[in-house]
Amino acid sequence: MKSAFGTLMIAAGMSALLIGGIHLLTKSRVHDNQQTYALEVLKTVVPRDEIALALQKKPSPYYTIDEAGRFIGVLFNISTEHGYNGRIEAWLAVGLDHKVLGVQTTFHQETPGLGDFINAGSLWNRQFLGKQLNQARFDIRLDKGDFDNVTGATVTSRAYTRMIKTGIDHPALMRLTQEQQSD
Amino acid sequence: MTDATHHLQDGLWRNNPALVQLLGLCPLLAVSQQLVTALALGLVTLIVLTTSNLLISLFRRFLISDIRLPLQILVIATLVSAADLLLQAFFFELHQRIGLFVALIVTNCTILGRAELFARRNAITASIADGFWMGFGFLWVITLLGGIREIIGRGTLFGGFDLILGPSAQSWVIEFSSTPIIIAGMAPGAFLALGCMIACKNWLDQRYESSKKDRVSQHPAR
Repeated sequence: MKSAFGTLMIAAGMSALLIGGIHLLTKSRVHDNQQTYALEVLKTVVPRDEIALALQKKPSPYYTIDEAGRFIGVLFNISTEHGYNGRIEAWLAVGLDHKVLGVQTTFHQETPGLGDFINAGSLWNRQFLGKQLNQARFDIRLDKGDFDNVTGATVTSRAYTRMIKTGIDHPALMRLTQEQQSD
Repeated sequence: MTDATHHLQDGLWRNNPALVQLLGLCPLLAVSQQLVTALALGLVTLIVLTTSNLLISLFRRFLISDIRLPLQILVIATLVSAADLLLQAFFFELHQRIGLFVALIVTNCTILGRAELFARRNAITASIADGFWMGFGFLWVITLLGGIREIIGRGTLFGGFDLILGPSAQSWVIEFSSTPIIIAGMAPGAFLALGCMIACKNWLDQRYESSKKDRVSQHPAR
């Protein structure tokens, strides 16, 4: 019995050492891969080729978007608590002229099936593309705005549209525009 | 019949882990939606199975019957964890697709089955041969299943090969149909396709058996 216990302990120790060793050797590589992958996924928010994202940490984290070396806008997280079942989160990309470059839902708890129209890449989502803060009324048609609401899911449509409306004026946009003008 | 061809025939056909022993169905059915994921998981399984047979045969002296199951699982779990880490380091995008099932290789009964039934009682070379051909038997079945389900369920073949071979393989995709039969890509489709493959194998076996009988009855003197 004693030798069985000892064998088991030694085997467990050896296996822990082996996995620990491989983990140490691959750790930095795996970390790099995760970063690159996360960035690639994030790039799909903006439906354009050849863009580069750079993380900015102040005041709150956001990304600047460069297209072919030229600065075109910022990408950041927006959220609302007014969804039918509470919280909705999304990535929003906005150009310097407050034009929507892309929007992608990352989290919601709306009614399955009925509320799915806000999911990433949906047709409904695409109506925001290219709309500018000063030229479009960021409300649903029921509230005399310019955006379609989905029948039976008015609350979701309204919450989402208002989330973009309040989120679109990112503080970094103003500062970056001024910087560009002074250049 | 030599020992080597015995292992080959056993693994690839007569005692095939997926078609005859019906072991490891969880990864077999879950990861065979597309050729590339099926091939990748089959290859990882092949490597893990061969290595686990090697190690268990190597340490079979220490496999006291009281603790042999925990030890075998320990060896398999170690190898799978190592494979998982290496995939994350070198084939990260592929890992995003099949990562969940790589961990599940531990529960692939083919591997524990070969450790328990073969490797702990046999010499190292025989155990490696057994592990390799059993793994290969699993590999060809899951790859074929993946190919069939990709053609029917997605209307494409060779899609996503850039995950393992780099961007140059993006052009490998062959489009068959723009109106795929979605069910083939879902769980019921997996069961149906595997059922058809097993039926096919049994039919071929039966035909072979009866043709052998015919030959014997035509030449009773032999």
